[in-house]
Amino acid sequence: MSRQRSMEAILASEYVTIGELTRLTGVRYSTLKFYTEEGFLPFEQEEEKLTRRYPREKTLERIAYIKALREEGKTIPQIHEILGVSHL
Amino acid sequence: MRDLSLTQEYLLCVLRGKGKLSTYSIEKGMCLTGACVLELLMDGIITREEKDKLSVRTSLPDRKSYLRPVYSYIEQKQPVKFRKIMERNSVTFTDQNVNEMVDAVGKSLVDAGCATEEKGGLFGGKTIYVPDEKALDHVIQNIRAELLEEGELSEDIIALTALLDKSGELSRYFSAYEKKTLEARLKEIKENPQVEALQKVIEDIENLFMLMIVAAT
Repeated sequence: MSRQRSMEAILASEYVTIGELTRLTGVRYSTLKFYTEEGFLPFEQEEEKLTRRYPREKTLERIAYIKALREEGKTIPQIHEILGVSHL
Repeated sequence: MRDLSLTQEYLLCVLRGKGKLSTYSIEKGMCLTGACVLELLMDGIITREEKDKLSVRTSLPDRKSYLRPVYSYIEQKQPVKFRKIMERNSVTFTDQNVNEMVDAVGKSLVDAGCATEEKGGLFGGKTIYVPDEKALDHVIQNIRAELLEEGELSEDIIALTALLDKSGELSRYFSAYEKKTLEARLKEIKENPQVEALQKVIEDIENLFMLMIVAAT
């Protein structure tokens, strides 16, 4: 069992959890979960029941990009097309 | 976003919009005491000795000064049982000890930019700490992200979840649809042998609360 990582440790880490992404971006958990299920946020997972790990820098860039697209008024199907991803 | 500790996050979650703990909510005061003790234990500032007595191990770091009311009491009375600390902070004729704790932690939340200090209460003479909605949402999203996801839970989230559950606040943050996952996670927490210190605290809160109910009837 481990302690929660400090912001300093998270910022120095290559991979982060979805909880750490909520702390880093301020984006709600349900939104990140939805983006993950839509295939917008690639992750690594050693086994099915283990924690999903997201590459920090790439994921932060991707979240910022999706946010910008949403602000431009793009719909989820349009974002699918732009990102060139299919559902998980 | 600044890192908040277990105790700070707990208070932020239970203050709600009113900025104070309800006088009728003895459990929240008890759980706030529990949060302080757990944080001191998890950070290795105090230690649990035989017969479940607590003693000071190191000095209290400046950044943790909001734990001073509980730390000082342990320092004075050591070795002291957790239950004794609990009784001091709940079974008294005044709210003085609970208010002292709320003030210390509340002020630290104000310093972290996560709450504002205002005047409130029945005659407007009481200092209250109104949580910043964004900061509160941040804490809630973090809890949801761990509890509703697969994978290992961190000690901090386990402790915060158990304390919020004990104070009857946890279910506010989950939809009916998510309850099943939540209940499975709570069962996992209760049965986890690795969180002995937490289980002991929860057990003491439960026992003391039952005694108070019996005494009041």
